[in-house]
Amino acid sequence: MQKKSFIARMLPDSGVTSSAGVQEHRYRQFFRSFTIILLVLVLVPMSVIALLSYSQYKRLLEEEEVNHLLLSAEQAEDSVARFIVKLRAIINFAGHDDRYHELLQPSTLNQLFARLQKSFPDFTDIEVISPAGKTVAYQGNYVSEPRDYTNELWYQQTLKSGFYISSLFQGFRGISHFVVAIARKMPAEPGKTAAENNRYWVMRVNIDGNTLQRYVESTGAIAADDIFLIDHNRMVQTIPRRYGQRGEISPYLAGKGLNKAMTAAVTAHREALTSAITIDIQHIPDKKRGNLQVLRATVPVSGSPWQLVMIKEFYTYSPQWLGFRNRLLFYFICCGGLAVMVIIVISRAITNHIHDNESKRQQLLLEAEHSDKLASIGRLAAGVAHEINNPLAIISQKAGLMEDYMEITTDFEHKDELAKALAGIDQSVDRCKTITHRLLGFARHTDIKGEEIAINTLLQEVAAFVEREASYSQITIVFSLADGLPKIFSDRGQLQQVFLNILNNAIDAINDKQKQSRQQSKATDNVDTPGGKRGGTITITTEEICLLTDSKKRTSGVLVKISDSGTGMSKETLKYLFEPFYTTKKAGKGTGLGLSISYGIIQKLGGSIEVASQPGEGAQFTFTLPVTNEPQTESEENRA
Amino acid sequence: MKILIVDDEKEFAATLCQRLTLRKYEVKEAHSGAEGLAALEDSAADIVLLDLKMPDMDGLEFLAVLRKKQPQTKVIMLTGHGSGEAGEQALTMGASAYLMKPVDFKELLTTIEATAPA
Repeated sequence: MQKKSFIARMLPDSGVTSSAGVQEHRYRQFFRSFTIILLVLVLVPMSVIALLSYSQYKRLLEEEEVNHLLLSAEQAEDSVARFIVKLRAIINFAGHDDRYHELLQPSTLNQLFARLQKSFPDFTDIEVISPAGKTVAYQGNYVSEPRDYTNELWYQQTLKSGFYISSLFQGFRGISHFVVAIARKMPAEPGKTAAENNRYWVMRVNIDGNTLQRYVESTGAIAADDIFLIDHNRMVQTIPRRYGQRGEISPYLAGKGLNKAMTAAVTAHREALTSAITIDIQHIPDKKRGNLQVLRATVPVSGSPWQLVMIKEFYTYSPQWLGFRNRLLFYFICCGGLAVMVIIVISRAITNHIHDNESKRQQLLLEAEHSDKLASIGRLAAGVAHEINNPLAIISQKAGLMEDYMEITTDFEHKDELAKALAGIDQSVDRCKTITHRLLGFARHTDIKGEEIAINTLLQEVAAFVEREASYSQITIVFSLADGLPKIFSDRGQLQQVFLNILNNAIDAINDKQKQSRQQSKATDNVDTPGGKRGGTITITTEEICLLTDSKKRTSGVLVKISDSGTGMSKETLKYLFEPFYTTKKAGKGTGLGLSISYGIIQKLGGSIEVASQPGEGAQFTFTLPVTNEPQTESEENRA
Repeated sequence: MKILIVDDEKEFAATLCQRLTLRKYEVKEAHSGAEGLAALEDSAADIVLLDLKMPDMDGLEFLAVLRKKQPQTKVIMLTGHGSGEAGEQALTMGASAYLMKPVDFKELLTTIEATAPA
C-alpha cells in the first residue's frame, strides 16, 4: 500500500467511492484535527510566554524583597547598636573609676542621677555595689533594701567582663526593665599590695524597657511589617505589632529555606553586610488569610544580648503582585478565548470550503461522465447509422430496379401483390432512412447554419406551430420574455427543431396528466366532472445571463426556460432522458431520439440543457445559449 | 448522355447502373478512384456520380483531380452520412450537386437532368 503523507491523511478523502456518511465523518475528523493543531500552535507559545513573564516577575520581586529586607534589618541593627554604645558611654562616664567614694555620698549620687535622668529620662535608678557585693548607695524611683549580690549570675558576669547588659524582665515591681552594669577598679589604697588593690566596685543602672521599645519602633518601622528584639532564649523583648507578645518566647523557630532567587540575592549582599543576618521563610497561621507566609530576618545586635527580628509579609500579598497576577490571568483568558473562537471559526470555514469545493468537483465529475457517455453513445450511433446507410442504399436501389422492370414487363400472375411488396420495402427503407439520419443528427453530423436570431421571436414562432394542438387540450402557453435580449448567432432550423420537440413533449405530458386524472375520477365515480380536469400551462421564460466559456472567458448569453404542468418525470427517467432510444411513450408513438437529438444540437450550438422535474409536478427545461457561437471544429472521422 | 458511376459498393453501383441504363443513359461504373480516372481517360463522361468515401481515394481528392483534367465534366456527389458538410465543400470545389445516401431515385433523375449540359 502506498504510504500517505501526514497532510494527505489529515485531509478528507476525495474519492467518489466513499459513501456520504463516511465523507461526513472524514470532514468532522479533519475539522477536529485541524482545530487541535491550530490550538496547540497558538495556545502553547502563549502559555509559555505567560509562564515565563510570571516566573520572571516573581523572581524579580523575590530578589527585590530580600534585598530590601536585608538593608532594612542592617540599618535597624545599626541603629540599636548605636543606642547601646551611647548608653554604655554614658554609664562609663558616670561611673568613673575613682568616683567610688564620691558616689557613696547621697548628695553626689543624687546629683548624678538627676543629670542622668535629664538626658535619659528612662533611667529609673542607680545603685553602687561595694567590692564585697553589697549595696552601698542607692538613688532611684524605688526604695531598695540593701542587698547582697555576691552569688548572682549577672554580678559575677559583670566582674568577669566589666560590662553587663541584661535581658528585659519584669522586676519585682512589676515594671519591665533591663539592667546595665559596669565593674570599676577600686581606687588604690597606699600600703596595700597590688593583689589587694585589685578589687572592683560595680555600678548598676535600671532602665525602663519602654526605651528599647521606642527605639526599635523608630527604626525600620516603614520597611517592615514587624520589628522586635528577642534575647538569646528567644524571649521577646519589645512589643511586636502583630507577631508575638512581649515577655513570651517567640514561637518561630528556624523556618523554611529560601528559594534559588532569594539565596542568590542574599549571597550577592553577603560581602557588603557587616552583621551576620540570616533570612528565612516562616508560615504563620493567620485568622483572616489562613497560612501567612513571611520573610524573617534575624540579626544579632552587637554589644547586646539581643537579636533584632524583622518580619515582612511575602510579596504575594502585595497589591502590586496581586494586580500583576490578575492582569496576566485576565489577558491570558481573554486572548486564549479569542484565539479558540477564531480558530474554531477559521477551521469551520476552511472545512466547509473544502467540503463545498469537493462536492462541486464531484458534481462536475458526474456531469462530465454523463456527457462523455452520451458522446460515446453518439459516436456508436453514428457509426451504426453510417454502416447501415450503405446496405440500405442497395436495398432501396434493388427494390427500385425491380419496380423498373415491373413497369416494362407485361402483366403476370401476382404482379399487383409484388408491386405492393416492393412499395412496402420502399416505405421501410424510408423509415430506416429517417432513423439513420436522426442518429447521425444526434452525433452532431448536422451542419450549423449561422444567422442572427431574436430568440423571443423564434420561440413565439415555434409556439405558433403547436398552438392549435395545445388548444385542443385547453393548454395555455404563457410567455414571460425579457425585453432587449441580445440577438444570438445560431442555427434557426435546429433551434426550432429543439424547441418544437420540447413543446410537443410538454403537450404530451399535460395530456397524459389529464388522462390520469380522468381515470382517477372514473375510479371514484365522480359523475359531475366526466371529462376530468382539463387544461394546463406551458410557461416560456427568457432572460439574459452571463456565461463562462471553456477558456474561462465571460460572454453574455440567453437563458430559455420551458416549464409545463404535466406528469413530470421520475428520477429514473431523468437519468436516461438524453440517451437515444429511451422513451416513456407507448410503442410506436416515439422513437426515443427527440431529446437526444436536441441534446446534440444544443451542445453543437455551444449551449446546455438542464432538466428539473418531479413526478406529478411538471417538468422544467432550462437552456442556455451563447450570444456568439464559435462552431466546434469537426474531427477528421466526421468529415469522411 | 454519358454517365460514370464511381462507388466502391459494387452492388450499389451495379444496380444504379442498371436502372439508369433502363432510362436510356449511357452508363459505366468504376469501383475505385483510380479505376474511375482510368475510365474517364478512356472515354470522357458528361456526368460523374461520385461516392464520397472510397478506400483508395477520397471523393474530394477525386474531384480535385477531375477538375484539373476534365473541367467540363459535371459531378454529382453522393454522401454516405447525414452531414451535408462534405457535400457543401464539394460544391465549393466545383461539384454540381450533392445527394444523401440512401438516394431517392426520382431526386437523382431530376438532379441529373438539371445538371446535364444542354
